[in-house]
Amino acid sequence: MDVLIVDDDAVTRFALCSALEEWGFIPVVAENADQALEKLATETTPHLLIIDWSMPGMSGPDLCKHIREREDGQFFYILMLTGKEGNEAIIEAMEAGADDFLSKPFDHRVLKVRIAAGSRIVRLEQTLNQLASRDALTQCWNRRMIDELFANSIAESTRKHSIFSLMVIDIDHFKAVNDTYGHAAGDNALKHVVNILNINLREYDQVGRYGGEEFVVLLPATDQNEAWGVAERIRSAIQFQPTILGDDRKIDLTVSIGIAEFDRNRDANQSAFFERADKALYTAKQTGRNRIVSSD
Amino acid sequence: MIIDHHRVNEITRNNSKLLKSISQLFLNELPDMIKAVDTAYQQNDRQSIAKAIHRLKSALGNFVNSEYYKEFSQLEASASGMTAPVIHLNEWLSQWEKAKLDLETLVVDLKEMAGI
Repeated sequence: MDVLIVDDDAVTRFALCSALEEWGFIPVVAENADQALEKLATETTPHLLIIDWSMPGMSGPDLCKHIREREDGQFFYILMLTGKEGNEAIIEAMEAGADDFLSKPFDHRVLKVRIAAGSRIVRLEQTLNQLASRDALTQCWNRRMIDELFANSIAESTRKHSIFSLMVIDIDHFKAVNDTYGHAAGDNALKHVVNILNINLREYDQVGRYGGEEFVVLLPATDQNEAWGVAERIRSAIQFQPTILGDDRKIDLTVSIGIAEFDRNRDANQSAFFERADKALYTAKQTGRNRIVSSD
Repeated sequence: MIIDHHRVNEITRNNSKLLKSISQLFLNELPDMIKAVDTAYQQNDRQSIAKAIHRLKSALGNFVNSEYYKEFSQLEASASGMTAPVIHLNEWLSQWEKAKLDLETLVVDLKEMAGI
């Protein structure tokens, strides 16, 4: 786990770095609050922070307040280090948003157990976040999360004037799968489909389970023609790679796919854009299934 | 003895290479930290003196015994003029000069301990 150390004193930073490495953490260092905020703005931001109270520029408590005002919902566990003593300092640090407090010069054994406690809380929060955002069966994004990512993609595409396509995928005759093979086999089939999606999509594409057998794929920096190519790869992979059940039985599946490319002049909002892809999916279903239809 | 051998060994986990690195880093930083205190004193700026002492105290915390660390806490508090009794900066200077002499002893001890 990465740990961000924010301290203007090079000797303390060095001592903390070597201790954290010894305890199995990966230290990331900042000499002041501005550097810390830069590190916290990256996608791989550490979530366990050790912040010194007194620094040139923004102080430790002010940095804490700044971090707690973030609106992206990310959790950060903050351990405040300070040469100050007494209850008033503890109250001020924790009112500013620190989770824990340690006076300098600190006993390294105490720091070790405090960091261990902080890392347990960060891991727990990450697990809760995982449970709240992933579909329990397939481990792709759940509807709440894919909706959030969808909204972010539209906002980014609008801001950067970049292209962005959407794919809505529905497994054909899935009710018959459950009726014929049972729900456990149906669950295996859903997991198999998501596995094929993951293999055939790019790292930056996002997959979410939207309903029972319906999936949404967000394709950033992708126009409708490229999206068609991706969709065809998925469609054929699902058709020619059946789900293998434990007792040597197999389930042949096909999918219907609707595609739409985001058009700022046409799509007033997220719902309108989704509706175009969903209508294309409906047309694919109506015209025989196991096919891809692009929105006009 | 100002140096806290137990603490330094704990921080460096008896690793001589690590001890040498952290000691050298401190010895490199020390002249600038002392100069920052002296400059702030010359400017008669109590808050800057307190901040400079605080920074030095923070680095010292890795090496020195609690008595010497407390002396620096006292130096910081009296420099700020925020705690009673408020002493004149001339009086504060004599305390700082004594602390600087002790720092020279610390440097010798640390060099010896780290084999520098």
